Amino acid sequence: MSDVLSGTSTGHHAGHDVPTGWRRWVFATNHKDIGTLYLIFAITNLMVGGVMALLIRAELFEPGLQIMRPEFFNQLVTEHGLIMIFGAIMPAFVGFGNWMIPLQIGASDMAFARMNNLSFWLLPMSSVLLLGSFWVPGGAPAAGWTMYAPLSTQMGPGMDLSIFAVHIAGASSIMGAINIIVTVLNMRAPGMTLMKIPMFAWTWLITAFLLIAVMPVLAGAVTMVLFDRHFGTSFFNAAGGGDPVMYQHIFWFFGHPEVYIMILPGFGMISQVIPAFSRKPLFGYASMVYATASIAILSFMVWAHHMFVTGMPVTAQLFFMYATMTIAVPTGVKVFNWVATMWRGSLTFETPMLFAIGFIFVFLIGGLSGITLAMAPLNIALHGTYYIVAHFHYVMVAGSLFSIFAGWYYWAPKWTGYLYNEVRGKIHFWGSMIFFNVAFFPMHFLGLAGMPRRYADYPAQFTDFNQIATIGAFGFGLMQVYFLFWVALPTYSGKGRQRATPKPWDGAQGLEWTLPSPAPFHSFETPPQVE
Amino acid sequence: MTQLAGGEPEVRQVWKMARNCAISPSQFFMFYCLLVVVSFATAGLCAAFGAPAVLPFAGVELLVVGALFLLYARHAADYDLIELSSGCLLIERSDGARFQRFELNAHWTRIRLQSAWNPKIEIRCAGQCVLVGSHVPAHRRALIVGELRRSLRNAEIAPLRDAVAGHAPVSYGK
Repeated sequence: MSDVLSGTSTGHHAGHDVPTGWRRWVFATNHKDIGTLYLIFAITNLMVGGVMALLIRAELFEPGLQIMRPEFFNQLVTEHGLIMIFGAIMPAFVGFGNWMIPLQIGASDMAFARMNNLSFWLLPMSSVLLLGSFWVPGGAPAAGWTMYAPLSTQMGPGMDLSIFAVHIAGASSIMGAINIIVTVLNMRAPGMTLMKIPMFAWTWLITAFLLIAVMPVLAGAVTMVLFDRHFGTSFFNAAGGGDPVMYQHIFWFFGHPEVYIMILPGFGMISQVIPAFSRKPLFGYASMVYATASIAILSFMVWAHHMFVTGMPVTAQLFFMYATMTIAVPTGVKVFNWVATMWRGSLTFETPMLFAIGFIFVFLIGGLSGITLAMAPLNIALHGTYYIVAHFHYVMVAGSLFSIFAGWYYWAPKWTGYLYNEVRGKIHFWGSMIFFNVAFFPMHFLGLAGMPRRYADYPAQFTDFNQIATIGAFGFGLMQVYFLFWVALPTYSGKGRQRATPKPWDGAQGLEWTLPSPAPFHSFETPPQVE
Repeated sequence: MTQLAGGEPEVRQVWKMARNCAISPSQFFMFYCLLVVVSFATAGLCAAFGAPAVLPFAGVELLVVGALFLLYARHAADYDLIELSSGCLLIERSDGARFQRFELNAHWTRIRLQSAWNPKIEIRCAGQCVLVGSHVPAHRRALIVGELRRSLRNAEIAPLRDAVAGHAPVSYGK
């Protein structure tokens, strides 16, 4: 971790205008304001996607329930996935990146402040298109978030809206990625060499590289779907000589790196939180950086493990199976490094640390079920079952979302200037942890027993585990409402909250903690010197 | 403060206003090349296996990335340098490929902050006008104007002060 040597500019509000009113937000160019906008957008979408998840779970509470039409159920499944991925998880990480990267590397702002504004304001348009698709003839797309052909080539205009929404979200991601790359590479404080930048900035740099590499693939795939739908091409239409399986190849060539796009910044945040509450430097910083880069590189070589059942030669199955298992090595390096950081550390268990440890625990479960699914023979048996649903929710919810919560609790004092309520934070953690496992662990058993995903109904033998899962899901959803209204909003409003010192965590390291809390509107106007 | 050799006027104060740039242009270019190779390899692979639409998207994306990188890199090393020496205010401006150098008489120089939106620091002398300060945040420019004015004032009374203190007076001749 970098230490400040001298010349720290703590910034100030005096002597200049801070924009106010709606103009501050609509025309925002300050990285902190844009970061806040991203976070507000993400939590809004988290709630919208969460309501969809609860509707799905309500329908699955008992066999034979007809709360909604099965087509609508499938629309909800699709939109839940798209909104959580493109509307909640990714924007949340970009929000964290906007807020923290300049502060961590000693930069005054992001490199392209106006483009930063544009990349944010594209996102609401994307969400409007996604949600608006419910109100067009035929409703929202019901092909799953992967928009597999030929389903996607046959659906109503809702699919077109979703395709445009994905395009817009992709353009926004690319602009965000360019901004982060230029900022991290060019605007580091003097003395902060690449191997000194904080892990969160490192993981975002690698994530940005991944985004730029794979976003054209997604854009190409959905454009080809659009062409098949409206311009008479037959890329994915078997009747016209096309190949629907090719869509899956292209999609997952984007889709698997996308999984890492949604988890690598989370790894970075956990790598910031654990050393702070262990009061030790991160164990194996260099190996963490190399492990992150290795995961990114390997993510390009494993896409077909999502497609074992489409039929492929045994050699290809073996290649993708072993390549997928190889990812466990750098991921294991990370987990061991986090544990080694805690080893003989002076540990305390404030909420960020609880979420970080919780993250390791649940992410490990998700990782291990991933290893199970990497094995082609098992994958063929478990494909399309609730085992898959359990696996990716352990990775995406318990992995990404818990890391986002760890990051929020860790940096919220720096953003808001107030300490959150520790007791409520712990209630949020334990409630989330328990209800998450109640909701998703039984899905492993459902999957092993053969319950298929994306069906509105099921045979009676799956009832018990589904009911447990539904109760857990509602509990988990309520905990997030609790977080929003009883933890986050009171912290932002500051009513009755204790003021945060510049460095509220005694073990925290890094340039961001040299600034006052809340971080001033303009910070690091003069770059600090890093030892 | 820098002492120039060979009887040149003593430099009293230097202000350098520049962006912080942590990477050399060649390193930045190498990073871009890496992006191009990875993106085109990916897109080429897709195109080779029947997904040609990926290639134009990759091309457009890399063009945008390249244009923005170039935009940033062209001005990454820009700076405004103001050097106050005996009687002389030397201003150097590096703006992309343009380099300008002005030598102004410090006694005749007037410094003010423009009243426009996003005001620059205006340095006027004998009909010449030089605008500097675009590399520092707008709200800090007023502070710099104050600092420059103070230094110019001090420079005017310095010969007298030096004479009283028994030092050799500094020549203000151009």
